[in-house]
Amino acid sequence: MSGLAELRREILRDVLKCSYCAMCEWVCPTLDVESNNRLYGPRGRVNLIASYFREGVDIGILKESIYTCLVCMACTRQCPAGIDIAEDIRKFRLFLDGGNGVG
Amino acid sequence: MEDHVKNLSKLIGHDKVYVDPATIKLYSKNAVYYEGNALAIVFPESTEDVSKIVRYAYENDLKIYPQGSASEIVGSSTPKDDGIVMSFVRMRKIKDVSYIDSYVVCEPGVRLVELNNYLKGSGYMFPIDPASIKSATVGGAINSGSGGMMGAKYGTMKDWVLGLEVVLPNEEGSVLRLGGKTTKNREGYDLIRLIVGSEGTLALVTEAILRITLAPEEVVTVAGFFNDLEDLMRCVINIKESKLDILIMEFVDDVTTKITIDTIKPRVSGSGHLLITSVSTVKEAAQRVLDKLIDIYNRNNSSNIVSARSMEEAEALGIFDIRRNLYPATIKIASSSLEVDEEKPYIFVEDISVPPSRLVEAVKRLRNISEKYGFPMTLGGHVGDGNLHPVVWIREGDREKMDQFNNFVMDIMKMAVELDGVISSEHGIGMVKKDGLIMSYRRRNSLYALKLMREIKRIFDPKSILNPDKMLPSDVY
Repeated sequence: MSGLAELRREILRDVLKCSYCAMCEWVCPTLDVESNNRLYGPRGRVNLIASYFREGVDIGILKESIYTCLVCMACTRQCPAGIDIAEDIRKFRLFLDGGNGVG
Repeated sequence: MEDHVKNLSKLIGHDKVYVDPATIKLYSKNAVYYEGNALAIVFPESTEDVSKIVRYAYENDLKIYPQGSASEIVGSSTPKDDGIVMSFVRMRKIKDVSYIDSYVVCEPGVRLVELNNYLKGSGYMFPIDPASIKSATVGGAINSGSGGMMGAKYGTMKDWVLGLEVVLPNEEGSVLRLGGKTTKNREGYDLIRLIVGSEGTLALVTEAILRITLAPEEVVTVAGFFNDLEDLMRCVINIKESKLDILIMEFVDDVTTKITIDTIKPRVSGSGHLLITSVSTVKEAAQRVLDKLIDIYNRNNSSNIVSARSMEEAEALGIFDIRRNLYPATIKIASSSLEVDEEKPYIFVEDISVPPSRLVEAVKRLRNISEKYGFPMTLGGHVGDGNLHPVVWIREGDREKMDQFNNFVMDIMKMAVELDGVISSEHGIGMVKKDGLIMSYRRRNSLYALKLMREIKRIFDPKSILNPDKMLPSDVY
Protein backbone atom coordinates (compact mmCIF):
# COMPACT_ATOMS: atom_id res chain seq x y z
CA MET A 1 0.00 0.00 0.00
CA SER A 2 1.37 3.43 -0.92
CA GLY A 3 2.10 6.01 1.75
CA LEU A 4 -0.90 8.10 0.77
CA ALA A 5 -3.28 5.14 0.65
CA GLU A 6 -2.06 4.01 4.04
CA LEU A 7 -2.50 7.52 5.42
CA ARG A 8 -6.03 7.64 4.01
CA ARG A 9 -6.84 4.27 5.60
CA GLU A 10 -5.48 5.33 9.00
CA ILE A 11 -7.40 8.61 9.04
CA LEU A 12 -10.67 7.18 7.76
CA ARG A 13 -10.64 4.25 10.16
CA ASP A 14 -10.32 6.67 13.07
CA VAL A 15 -12.81 9.36 11.99
CA LEU A 16 -15.53 6.80 11.21
CA LYS A 17 -15.72 6.07 14.94
CA CYS A 18 -17.44 9.44 15.43
CA SER A 19 -20.94 8.94 16.82
CA TYR A 20 -21.82 12.65 16.50
CA CYS A 21 -22.22 13.06 20.28
CA ALA A 22 -20.71 16.57 20.18
CA MET A 23 -18.85 16.23 23.46
CA CYS A 24 -15.74 17.61 21.75
CA GLU A 25 -17.28 20.94 20.79
CA TRP A 26 -17.54 22.81 24.08
CA VAL A 27 -13.76 23.07 24.46
CA CYS A 28 -13.03 24.10 20.87
CA PRO A 29 -11.55 27.61 20.66
CA THR A 30 -12.39 28.11 16.99
CA LEU A 31 -16.06 27.15 17.04
CA ASP A 32 -17.15 30.26 18.93
CA VAL A 33 -14.97 32.58 16.91
CA GLU A 34 -16.14 31.24 13.57
CA SER A 35 -19.85 31.98 13.83
CA ASN A 36 -20.67 28.84 15.84
CA ASN A 37 -21.04 26.87 12.65
CA ARG A 38 -20.24 23.17 13.17
CA LEU A 39 -17.89 23.45 10.18
CA TYR A 40 -15.38 25.12 12.47
CA GLY A 41 -15.46 22.63 15.32
CA PRO A 42 -13.99 19.17 15.80
CA ARG A 43 -17.19 17.23 15.10
CA GLY A 44 -17.63 19.05 11.83
CA ARG A 45 -14.00 18.61 10.84
CA VAL A 46 -13.94 14.90 11.58
CA ASN A 47 -17.15 14.32 9.63
CA LEU A 48 -16.05 16.48 6.71
CA ILE A 49 -12.91 14.38 6.44
CA ALA A 50 -15.06 11.23 6.36
CA SER A 51 -17.30 12.79 3.72
CA TYR A 52 -14.29 13.85 1.63
CA PHE A 53 -13.05 10.27 1.47
CA ARG A 54 -16.42 8.61 1.02
CA GLU A 55 -18.57 10.87 -1.12
CA GLY A 56 -16.65 14.07 -1.75
CA VAL A 57 -17.14 17.61 -0.41
CA ASP A 58 -16.40 21.12 -1.62
CA ILE A 59 -12.64 21.34 -1.30
CA GLY A 60 -12.69 25.09 -0.60
CA ILE A 61 -14.96 24.74 2.41
CA LEU A 62 -13.10 21.65 3.55
CA LYS A 63 -9.79 23.49 3.55
CA GLU A 64 -11.29 26.45 5.40
CA SER A 65 -12.54 24.08 8.05
CA ILE A 66 -9.36 22.03 8.35
CA TYR A 67 -6.89 24.91 8.27
CA THR A 68 -8.71 26.99 10.90
CA CYS A 69 -8.06 24.23 13.46
CA LEU A 70 -5.41 25.24 15.98
CA VAL A 71 -4.50 21.59 16.67
CA CYS A 72 -4.62 22.47 20.37
CA MET A 73 -5.79 18.91 21.17
CA ALA A 74 -8.47 20.06 23.62
CA CYS A 75 -11.09 18.07 21.70
CA THR A 76 -9.03 14.89 21.61
CA ARG A 77 -9.22 14.63 25.39
CA GLN A 78 -13.00 14.89 25.31
CA CYS A 79 -13.82 12.24 22.71
CA PRO A 80 -15.55 9.22 24.28
CA ALA A 81 -14.84 7.18 21.15
CA GLY A 82 -11.12 7.78 21.59
CA ILE A 83 -10.72 9.46 18.20
CA ASP A 84 -7.35 11.21 18.00
CA ILE A 85 -9.00 14.25 16.43
CA ALA A 86 -6.02 16.61 16.43
CA GLU A 87 -3.71 13.92 15.05
CA ASP A 88 -6.24 13.05 12.33
CA ILE A 89 -6.39 16.70 11.32
CA ARG A 90 -2.61 16.92 11.24
CA LYS A 91 -2.43 13.78 9.12
CA PHE A 92 -5.20 15.00 6.84
CA ARG A 93 -3.33 18.23 6.19
CA LEU A 94 -0.39 16.08 5.24
CA PHE A 95 -2.66 14.07 2.96
CA LEU A 96 -3.98 17.20 1.27
CA ASP A 97 -0.40 18.29 0.83
CA GLY A 98 0.14 15.22 -1.32
CA GLY A 99 1.70 13.26 1.46
CA ASN A 100 5.01 15.10 1.44
CA GLY A 101 7.22 13.25 3.82
CA VAL A 102 5.05 10.14 3.74
CA GLY A 103 6.12 6.82 2.26
CA MET B 1 -35.75 27.66 -2.65
CA GLU B 2 -33.45 30.50 -3.70
CA ASP B 3 -36.28 32.89 -2.96
CA HIS B 4 -36.69 31.51 0.55
CA VAL B 5 -33.00 31.93 1.25
CA LYS B 6 -32.95 35.43 -0.16
CA ASN B 7 -36.05 36.42 1.79
CA LEU B 8 -34.84 34.89 5.05
CA SER B 9 -31.47 36.60 4.64
CA LYS B 10 -33.25 39.90 4.13
CA LEU B 11 -35.38 39.29 7.21
CA ILE B 12 -32.71 38.34 9.75
CA GLY B 13 -29.38 39.07 8.05
CA HIS B 14 -27.35 37.05 5.53
CA ASP B 15 -24.79 36.01 8.16
CA LYS B 16 -27.50 34.00 9.91
CA VAL B 17 -28.55 31.90 6.91
CA TYR B 18 -26.35 29.12 5.48
CA VAL B 19 -26.99 27.12 2.34
CA ASP B 20 -23.65 25.53 1.48
CA PRO B 21 -23.93 21.73 1.20
CA ALA B 22 -21.26 21.07 3.82
CA THR B 23 -23.07 23.07 6.52
CA ILE B 24 -26.41 21.56 5.55
CA LYS B 25 -24.96 18.06 5.82
CA LEU B 26 -23.49 18.74 9.27
CA TYR B 27 -26.85 20.04 10.55
CA SER B 28 -28.83 17.18 9.06
CA LYS B 29 -27.42 14.38 11.21
CA ASN B 30 -27.95 13.22 14.77
CA ALA B 31 -25.99 11.00 17.13
CA VAL B 32 -27.15 7.67 15.68
CA TYR B 33 -27.33 7.49 11.95
CA TYR B 34 -30.34 9.48 10.85
CA GLU B 35 -29.43 11.80 8.06
CA GLY B 36 -31.87 14.15 6.46
CA ASN B 37 -31.55 17.17 4.26
CA ALA B 38 -32.63 20.80 4.54
CA LEU B 39 -33.11 23.86 2.37
CA ALA B 40 -31.04 26.04 4.68
CA ILE B 41 -29.69 26.33 8.19
CA VAL B 42 -30.71 29.46 10.11
CA PHE B 43 -29.02 30.76 13.24
CA PRO B 44 -31.35 33.18 15.05
CA GLU B 45 -29.70 35.39 17.64
CA SER B 46 -32.82 36.69 19.40
CA THR B 47 -36.47 35.96 20.11
CA GLU B 48 -37.29 38.57 17.50
CA ASP B 49 -35.28 36.66 14.89
CA VAL B 50 -37.13 33.46 15.79
CA SER B 51 -40.50 35.15 15.55
CA LYS B 52 -39.65 36.68 12.15
CA ILE B 53 -38.55 33.30 10.78
CA VAL B 54 -41.73 31.66 12.08
CA ARG B 55 -43.95 34.29 10.48
CA TYR B 56 -42.19 33.76 7.17
CA ALA B 57 -42.35 29.97 7.45
CA TYR B 58 -46.04 30.05 8.32
CA GLU B 59 -46.88 32.24 5.38
CA ASN B 60 -44.85 30.14 2.96
CA ASP B 61 -45.57 26.64 4.31
CA LEU B 62 -41.93 26.12 5.12
CA LYS B 63 -41.19 23.49 7.79
CA ILE B 64 -38.95 24.37 10.73
CA TYR B 65 -36.72 21.75 12.36
CA PRO B 66 -35.43 23.13 15.67
CA GLN B 67 -32.06 21.94 16.88
CA GLY B 68 -29.73 22.23 19.87
CA SER B 69 -26.56 20.18 19.62
CA ALA B 70 -28.22 17.30 17.70
CA SER B 71 -26.78 14.82 20.18
CA GLU B 72 -30.17 13.15 20.53
CA ILE B 73 -30.52 9.54 19.42
CA VAL B 74 -34.14 9.10 18.35
CA GLY B 75 -34.32 11.34 15.29
CA SER B 76 -36.12 14.25 16.94
CA SER B 77 -33.68 16.86 15.59
CA THR B 78 -33.08 15.74 12.01
CA PRO B 79 -34.66 17.70 9.15
CA LYS B 80 -36.24 16.85 5.83
CA ASP B 81 -35.78 18.73 2.58
CA ASP B 82 -39.13 20.51 2.93
CA GLY B 83 -37.78 22.95 5.48
CA ILE B 84 -35.01 24.69 7.37
CA VAL B 85 -33.02 23.76 10.45
CA MET B 86 -33.29 26.38 13.16
CA SER B 87 -30.13 26.07 15.22
CA PHE B 88 -30.13 27.77 18.62
CA VAL B 89 -26.37 27.65 19.16
CA ARG B 90 -26.00 31.41 18.91
CA MET B 91 -28.56 32.08 21.64
CA ARG B 92 -26.19 31.28 24.46
CA LYS B 93 -26.54 33.97 27.09
CA ILE B 94 -27.03 33.30 30.78
CA LYS B 95 -29.11 36.38 31.54
CA ASP B 96 -29.81 36.32 35.23
CA VAL B 97 -29.26 34.26 38.36
CA SER B 98 -30.72 34.50 41.85
CA TYR B 99 -29.41 32.35 44.68
CA ILE B 100 -32.02 33.73 47.05
CA ASP B 101 -34.86 32.74 44.74
CA SER B 102 -33.00 29.70 43.34
CA TYR B 103 -33.33 30.28 39.62
CA VAL B 104 -31.26 30.99 36.56
CA VAL B 105 -32.52 32.59 33.36
CA CYS B 106 -30.83 31.50 30.17
CA GLU B 107 -31.17 31.13 26.44
CA PRO B 108 -31.74 27.74 24.82
CA GLY B 109 -28.28 27.34 23.30
CA VAL B 110 -26.45 27.29 26.66
CA ARG B 111 -24.87 23.88 27.22
CA LEU B 112 -25.64 22.18 30.54
CA VAL B 113 -21.92 21.93 31.29
CA GLU B 114 -21.59 25.70 30.78
CA LEU B 115 -24.54 26.31 33.10
CA ASN B 116 -22.91 24.30 35.86
CA ASN B 117 -19.54 25.92 35.25
CA TYR B 118 -21.27 29.27 35.65
CA LEU B 119 -22.81 28.17 38.96
CA LYS B 120 -19.59 26.63 40.25
CA GLY B 121 -18.36 28.26 43.39
CA SER B 122 -21.82 29.49 44.40
CA GLY B 123 -22.69 26.24 46.16
CA TYR B 124 -25.59 25.79 43.72
CA MET B 125 -25.99 23.50 40.76
CA PHE B 126 -28.38 22.53 38.01
CA PRO B 127 -28.89 18.84 38.75
CA ILE B 128 -29.93 17.38 35.38
CA ASP B 129 -26.84 15.51 34.25
CA PRO B 130 -27.38 13.41 31.11
CA ALA B 131 -24.39 11.49 29.79
CA SER B 132 -24.33 14.15 27.09
CA ILE B 133 -24.00 16.98 29.64
CA LYS B 134 -21.03 18.44 27.75
CA SER B 135 -23.00 18.77 24.54
CA ALA B 136 -26.67 18.91 25.57
CA THR B 137 -28.17 22.39 25.43
CA VAL B 138 -30.85 23.82 27.69
CA GLY B 139 -33.32 23.95 24.78
CA GLY B 140 -32.51 20.41 23.71
CA ALA B 141 -32.74 19.08 27.26
CA ILE B 142 -36.12 20.80 27.76
CA ASN B 143 -37.50 19.40 24.53
CA SER B 144 -36.08 15.93 25.16
CA GLY B 145 -37.19 15.86 28.79
CA SER B 146 -33.66 14.81 29.73
CA GLY B 147 -32.61 13.00 32.88
CA GLY B 148 -29.30 11.63 34.07
CA MET B 149 -27.32 9.85 36.76
CA MET B 150 -28.80 11.94 39.56
CA GLY B 151 -32.34 11.19 38.40
CA ALA B 152 -32.94 9.00 41.46
CA LYS B 153 -32.89 12.15 43.60
CA TYR B 154 -33.64 15.01 41.23
CA GLY B 155 -35.99 13.53 38.61
CA THR B 156 -35.83 14.86 35.06
CA MET B 157 -36.05 18.16 33.24
CA LYS B 158 -39.80 18.44 33.84
CA ASP B 159 -39.09 19.02 37.53
CA TRP B 160 -36.69 21.94 36.96
CA VAL B 161 -38.34 24.33 34.52
CA LEU B 162 -40.08 27.25 36.26
CA GLY B 163 -40.76 29.40 33.26
CA LEU B 164 -40.46 29.49 29.49
CA GLU B 165 -40.51 32.08 26.78
CA VAL B 166 -41.69 30.43 23.58
CA VAL B 167 -42.52 31.40 20.04
CA LEU B 168 -45.63 29.72 18.68
CA PRO B 169 -45.72 28.42 15.10
CA ASN B 170 -48.65 30.60 14.08
CA GLU B 171 -49.31 33.46 11.69
CA GLU B 172 -47.99 36.10 14.11
CA GLY B 173 -45.06 34.10 15.46
CA SER B 174 -46.56 34.95 18.87
CA VAL B 175 -44.24 35.20 21.84
CA LEU B 176 -45.64 33.71 25.06
CA ARG B 177 -44.17 33.92 28.54
CA LEU B 178 -45.26 30.97 30.66
CA GLY B 179 -44.63 30.41 34.37
CA GLY B 180 -42.22 32.63 36.22
CA LYS B 181 -39.63 32.79 38.95
CA THR B 182 -41.54 30.98 41.68
CA THR B 183 -41.55 27.29 42.52
CA LYS B 184 -45.27 27.28 43.16
CA ASN B 185 -47.49 28.17 40.25
CA ARG B 186 -51.14 27.22 39.70
CA GLU B 187 -52.07 29.53 36.87
CA GLY B 188 -54.34 27.27 34.81
CA TYR B 189 -53.20 24.29 32.79
CA ASP B 190 -49.52 23.50 33.11
CA LEU B 191 -48.36 24.44 29.62
CA ILE B 192 -44.73 24.34 30.67
CA ARG B 193 -44.89 20.62 31.47
CA LEU B 194 -46.61 20.11 28.13
CA ILE B 195 -43.75 21.72 26.26
CA VAL B 196 -41.05 19.93 28.27
CA GLY B 197 -40.46 16.67 26.40
CA SER B 198 -42.47 17.76 23.35
CA GLU B 199 -39.44 17.20 21.08
CA GLY B 200 -39.76 20.52 19.31
CA THR B 201 -43.24 19.79 18.02
CA LEU B 202 -45.25 22.45 19.88
CA ALA B 203 -43.27 25.65 20.31
CA LEU B 204 -39.80 27.13 19.97
CA VAL B 205 -38.15 27.75 23.34
CA THR B 206 -36.29 31.06 23.31
CA GLU B 207 -35.65 31.51 27.02
CA ALA B 208 -35.93 29.34 30.13
CA ILE B 209 -36.15 30.05 33.83
CA LEU B 210 -34.62 27.01 35.50
CA ARG B 211 -34.69 26.05 39.14
CA ILE B 212 -31.29 25.53 40.73
CA THR B 213 -30.51 23.76 43.97
CA LEU B 214 -27.80 23.63 46.58
CA ALA B 215 -25.14 21.08 45.76
CA PRO B 216 -24.87 18.40 48.48
CA GLU B 217 -22.41 19.37 51.20
CA GLU B 218 -20.81 15.94 51.06
CA VAL B 219 -21.29 12.87 48.92
CA VAL B 220 -20.12 9.41 49.97
CA THR B 221 -19.83 6.65 47.39
CA VAL B 222 -19.50 2.86 47.47
CA ALA B 223 -18.92 0.53 44.52
CA GLY B 224 -19.01 -3.26 44.75
CA PHE B 225 -19.40 -6.35 42.58
CA PHE B 226 -22.07 -9.06 42.89
CA ASN B 227 -22.03 -12.56 41.41
CA ASP B 228 -25.75 -12.89 41.87
CA LEU B 229 -28.14 -10.31 40.42
CA GLU B 230 -30.63 -11.10 43.20
CA ASP B 231 -28.00 -10.12 45.79
CA LEU B 232 -27.44 -6.82 43.99
CA MET B 233 -31.15 -6.07 43.92
CA ARG B 234 -31.52 -6.95 47.59
CA CYS B 235 -28.67 -4.53 48.25
CA VAL B 236 -30.56 -1.84 46.30
CA ILE B 237 -33.72 -2.53 48.31
CA ASN B 238 -31.83 -2.50 51.61
CA ILE B 239 -30.22 0.83 50.75
CA LYS B 240 -33.64 2.26 49.89
CA GLU B 241 -35.08 0.88 53.14
CA SER B 242 -32.27 2.41 55.17
CA LYS B 243 -33.62 5.90 54.37
CA LEU B 244 -30.32 7.12 52.99
CA ASP B 245 -30.53 10.13 50.69
CA ILE B 246 -29.62 8.38 47.43
CA LEU B 247 -28.02 10.69 44.89
CA ILE B 248 -26.69 8.20 42.34
CA MET B 249 -27.39 4.49 41.97
CA GLU B 250 -25.81 3.00 38.87
CA PHE B 251 -25.69 -0.55 37.59
CA VAL B 252 -23.52 -2.33 35.03
CA ASP B 253 -24.19 -6.01 34.30
CA ASP B 254 -21.48 -8.69 34.61
CA VAL B 255 -20.87 -9.18 30.88
CA THR B 256 -20.50 -5.44 30.34
CA THR B 257 -18.32 -5.04 33.42
CA LYS B 258 -15.90 -7.62 32.04
CA ILE B 259 -15.89 -6.09 28.57
CA THR B 260 -15.28 -2.61 30.01
CA ILE B 261 -12.51 -3.80 32.32
CA ASP B 262 -10.82 -5.67 29.45
CA THR B 263 -11.15 -2.75 27.05
CA ILE B 264 -10.60 0.34 29.17
CA LYS B 265 -8.51 -0.92 32.10
CA PRO B 266 -10.31 1.15 34.74
CA ARG B 267 -8.80 1.81 38.12
CA VAL B 268 -11.54 -0.14 39.93
CA SER B 269 -11.72 -3.82 39.07
CA GLY B 270 -13.65 -6.97 39.98
CA SER B 271 -15.98 -9.53 38.52
CA GLY B 272 -19.76 -9.75 38.49
CA HIS B 273 -22.47 -7.13 38.30
CA LEU B 274 -21.40 -3.67 39.46
CA LEU B 275 -23.44 -1.41 41.72
CA ILE B 276 -22.31 2.13 42.47
CA THR B 277 -24.19 4.14 45.08
CA SER B 278 -23.61 7.76 46.05
CA VAL B 279 -25.42 9.20 49.04
CA SER B 280 -25.90 12.85 49.82
CA THR B 281 -24.96 13.84 53.38
CA VAL B 282 -23.21 16.45 55.54
CA LYS B 283 -19.54 16.45 56.52
CA GLU B 284 -20.17 15.48 60.13
CA ALA B 285 -22.22 12.42 59.18
CA ALA B 286 -20.13 11.28 56.21
CA GLN B 287 -18.21 8.48 57.92
CA ARG B 288 -21.30 7.11 59.68
CA VAL B 289 -23.30 7.07 56.43
CA LEU B 290 -20.40 5.50 54.57
CA ASP B 291 -20.04 2.72 57.17
CA LYS B 292 -23.74 2.01 56.95
CA LEU B 293 -23.56 1.78 53.16
CA ILE B 294 -20.52 -0.52 53.21
CA ASP B 295 -22.28 -2.72 55.75
CA ILE B 296 -25.29 -3.13 53.44
CA TYR B 297 -23.00 -4.06 50.54
CA ASN B 298 -21.19 -6.61 52.73
CA ARG B 299 -24.42 -8.16 54.00
CA ASN B 300 -25.44 -8.79 50.40
CA ASN B 301 -22.28 -10.68 49.44
CA SER B 302 -20.59 -7.90 47.52
CA SER B 303 -16.91 -8.25 46.67
CA ASN B 304 -14.08 -5.87 45.80
CA ILE B 305 -15.82 -3.01 47.58
CA VAL B 306 -14.30 0.44 47.05
CA SER B 307 -15.49 3.45 49.04
CA ALA B 308 -14.94 7.19 49.11
CA ARG B 309 -15.81 9.81 51.73
CA SER B 310 -16.12 12.61 49.22
CA MET B 311 -16.73 13.12 45.51
CA GLU B 312 -13.13 14.24 45.11
CA GLU B 313 -11.92 10.98 46.64
CA ALA B 314 -14.35 8.99 44.45
CA GLU B 315 -12.93 10.68 41.36
CA ALA B 316 -9.36 10.10 42.53
CA LEU B 317 -10.09 6.40 43.05
CA GLY B 318 -11.85 6.07 39.70
CA ILE B 319 -15.04 4.68 41.23
CA PHE B 320 -17.15 5.77 38.27
CA ASP B 321 -14.66 4.62 35.61
CA ILE B 322 -16.54 1.48 34.57
CA ARG B 323 -19.95 3.14 34.40
CA ARG B 324 -18.67 6.19 32.56
CA ASN B 325 -16.66 4.12 30.12
CA LEU B 326 -19.52 1.86 29.19
CA TYR B 327 -20.16 3.82 26.00
CA PRO B 328 -16.50 4.28 24.99
CA ALA B 329 -15.93 0.56 25.60
CA THR B 330 -18.93 -0.25 23.41
CA ILE B 331 -17.58 1.97 20.63
CA LYS B 332 -14.23 0.21 20.82
CA ILE B 333 -15.81 -3.24 20.65
CA ALA B 334 -18.15 -2.16 17.88
CA SER B 335 -15.26 -0.70 15.86
CA SER B 336 -13.12 -3.77 16.33
CA SER B 337 -16.00 -6.01 15.21
CA LEU B 338 -16.07 -4.43 11.75
CA GLU B 339 -15.09 -6.71 8.91
CA VAL B 340 -14.11 -3.96 6.50
CA ASP B 341 -11.91 -0.99 7.31
CA GLU B 342 -14.11 1.67 5.83
CA GLU B 343 -17.32 0.72 7.58
CA LYS B 344 -18.93 2.65 10.34
CA PRO B 345 -20.44 1.08 13.43
CA TYR B 346 -23.93 2.22 14.40
CA ILE B 347 -24.49 2.20 18.13
CA PHE B 348 -27.99 2.13 19.55
CA VAL B 349 -28.75 3.00 23.17
CA GLU B 350 -32.14 1.83 24.40
CA ASP B 351 -33.98 3.70 27.12
CA ILE B 352 -36.69 1.73 28.91
CA SER B 353 -37.71 2.07 32.55
CA VAL B 354 -39.35 -0.46 34.83
CA PRO B 355 -40.30 -0.03 38.48
CA PRO B 356 -37.01 -0.69 40.32
CA SER B 357 -38.52 -3.70 42.10
CA ARG B 358 -38.84 -5.45 38.70
CA LEU B 359 -35.27 -4.87 37.56
CA VAL B 360 -34.08 -8.45 38.04
CA GLU B 361 -36.82 -9.73 35.79
CA ALA B 362 -36.14 -6.98 33.26
CA VAL B 363 -32.42 -7.78 33.08
CA LYS B 364 -33.09 -11.50 32.63
CA ARG B 365 -35.62 -10.87 29.89
CA LEU B 366 -33.35 -8.38 28.15
CA ARG B 367 -30.65 -11.03 27.98
CA ASN B 368 -33.08 -13.52 26.50
CA ILE B 369 -34.13 -11.00 23.85
CA SER B 370 -30.49 -10.23 23.03
CA GLU B 371 -29.81 -13.96 22.67
CA LYS B 372 -32.92 -14.52 20.54
CA TYR B 373 -31.76 -11.97 17.97
CA GLY B 374 -28.06 -12.69 18.25
CA PHE B 375 -27.24 -9.09 19.12
CA PRO B 376 -24.27 -8.73 21.45
CA MET B 377 -25.37 -6.26 24.12
CA THR B 378 -23.85 -4.15 26.84
CA LEU B 379 -26.11 -3.18 29.70
CA GLY B 380 -26.05 -0.47 32.29
CA GLY B 381 -28.50 1.92 33.78
CA HIS B 382 -29.81 4.12 36.49
CA VAL B 383 -30.96 1.42 38.86
CA GLY B 384 -32.23 3.93 41.41
CA ASP B 385 -35.11 4.89 39.13
CA GLY B 386 -35.34 1.68 37.08
CA ASN B 387 -34.00 3.20 33.85
CA LEU B 388 -32.01 0.66 31.80
CA HIS B 389 -29.81 1.39 28.80
CA PRO B 390 -29.14 -1.76 26.79
CA VAL B 391 -26.69 -0.94 24.00
CA VAL B 392 -26.24 -2.86 20.75
CA TRP B 393 -24.19 -2.21 17.64
CA ILE B 394 -24.61 -3.00 13.99
CA ARG B 395 -22.23 -2.36 11.13
CA GLU B 396 -23.67 0.13 8.68
CA GLY B 397 -23.81 -2.22 5.71
CA ASP B 398 -25.65 -5.01 7.51
CA ARG B 399 -29.18 -4.60 6.12
CA GLU B 400 -30.37 -7.88 7.58
CA LYS B 401 -29.42 -6.90 11.11
CA MET B 402 -30.88 -3.42 10.64
CA ASP B 403 -34.21 -4.98 9.70
CA GLN B 404 -34.10 -7.30 12.69
CA PHE B 405 -33.20 -4.37 14.90
CA ASN B 406 -36.71 -2.89 14.73
CA ASN B 407 -38.21 -6.16 15.99
CA PHE B 408 -35.53 -6.36 18.65
CA VAL B 409 -36.45 -2.88 19.93
CA MET B 410 -40.16 -3.70 19.82
CA ASP B 411 -39.56 -6.82 21.94
CA ILE B 412 -37.66 -4.73 24.48
CA MET B 413 -40.42 -2.11 24.60
CA LYS B 414 -43.10 -4.79 25.00
CA MET B 415 -41.17 -6.32 27.85
CA ALA B 416 -40.91 -2.94 29.60
CA VAL B 417 -44.64 -2.31 29.27
CA GLU B 418 -45.45 -5.82 30.51
CA LEU B 419 -43.45 -5.05 33.63
CA ASP B 420 -45.43 -1.83 34.20
CA GLY B 421 -42.64 0.26 32.76
CA VAL B 422 -42.29 2.74 29.90
CA ILE B 423 -40.74 2.58 26.42
CA SER B 424 -38.75 5.78 26.79
CA SER B 425 -37.41 7.41 29.93
CA GLU B 426 -35.19 10.29 28.91
CA HIS B 427 -34.34 9.97 25.20
CA GLY B 428 -37.78 10.47 23.69
CA ILE B 429 -39.80 9.02 20.81
CA GLY B 430 -38.55 10.91 17.74
CA MET B 431 -38.92 8.85 14.62
CA VAL B 432 -37.92 5.50 16.07
CA LYS B 433 -40.46 4.72 18.76
CA LYS B 434 -43.79 5.77 17.29
CA ASP B 435 -44.83 2.11 16.97
CA GLY B 436 -43.84 1.58 20.57
CA LEU B 437 -45.99 4.51 21.60
CA ILE B 438 -49.01 2.94 19.91
CA MET B 439 -48.25 -0.44 21.49
CA SER B 440 -47.90 1.08 24.96
CA TYR B 441 -51.16 3.05 24.85
CA ARG B 442 -53.04 0.21 23.16
CA ARG B 443 -52.00 -2.14 25.94
CA ARG B 444 -53.54 0.26 28.43
CA ASN B 445 -56.62 0.58 26.27
CA SER B 446 -55.87 4.30 26.02
CA LEU B 447 -55.20 5.00 22.37
CA TYR B 448 -57.43 8.04 22.71
CA ALA B 449 -54.51 9.69 24.54
CA LEU B 450 -52.68 9.81 21.22
CA LYS B 451 -55.66 11.50 19.62
CA LEU B 452 -55.59 14.10 22.38
CA MET B 453 -51.90 14.66 21.71
CA ARG B 454 -52.58 15.09 18.00
CA GLU B 455 -55.26 17.68 18.82
CA ILE B 456 -52.89 19.52 21.14
CA LYS B 457 -50.32 19.57 18.35
CA ARG B 458 -52.95 20.97 15.95
CA ILE B 459 -53.89 23.78 18.34
CA PHE B 460 -50.27 24.82 18.87
CA ASP B 461 -49.23 24.28 15.27
CA PRO B 462 -52.25 24.55 12.96
CA LYS B 463 -50.27 24.19 9.73
CA SER B 464 -47.92 21.56 11.12
CA ILE B 465 -44.80 23.49 10.23
CA LEU B 466 -42.90 22.70 13.42
CA ASN B 467 -40.87 19.47 13.43
CA PRO B 468 -43.59 17.59 11.56
CA ASP B 469 -43.85 13.80 11.69
CA LYS B 470 -41.89 13.57 14.92
CA MET B 471 -43.03 11.85 18.09
CA LEU B 472 -46.71 11.42 17.21
CA PRO B 473 -47.98 8.56 15.04
CA SER B 474 -50.26 9.93 12.35
CA ASP B 475 -53.34 7.73 12.06
CA VAL B 476 -54.09 4.99 14.54
CA TYR B 477 -57.00 6.24 16.53
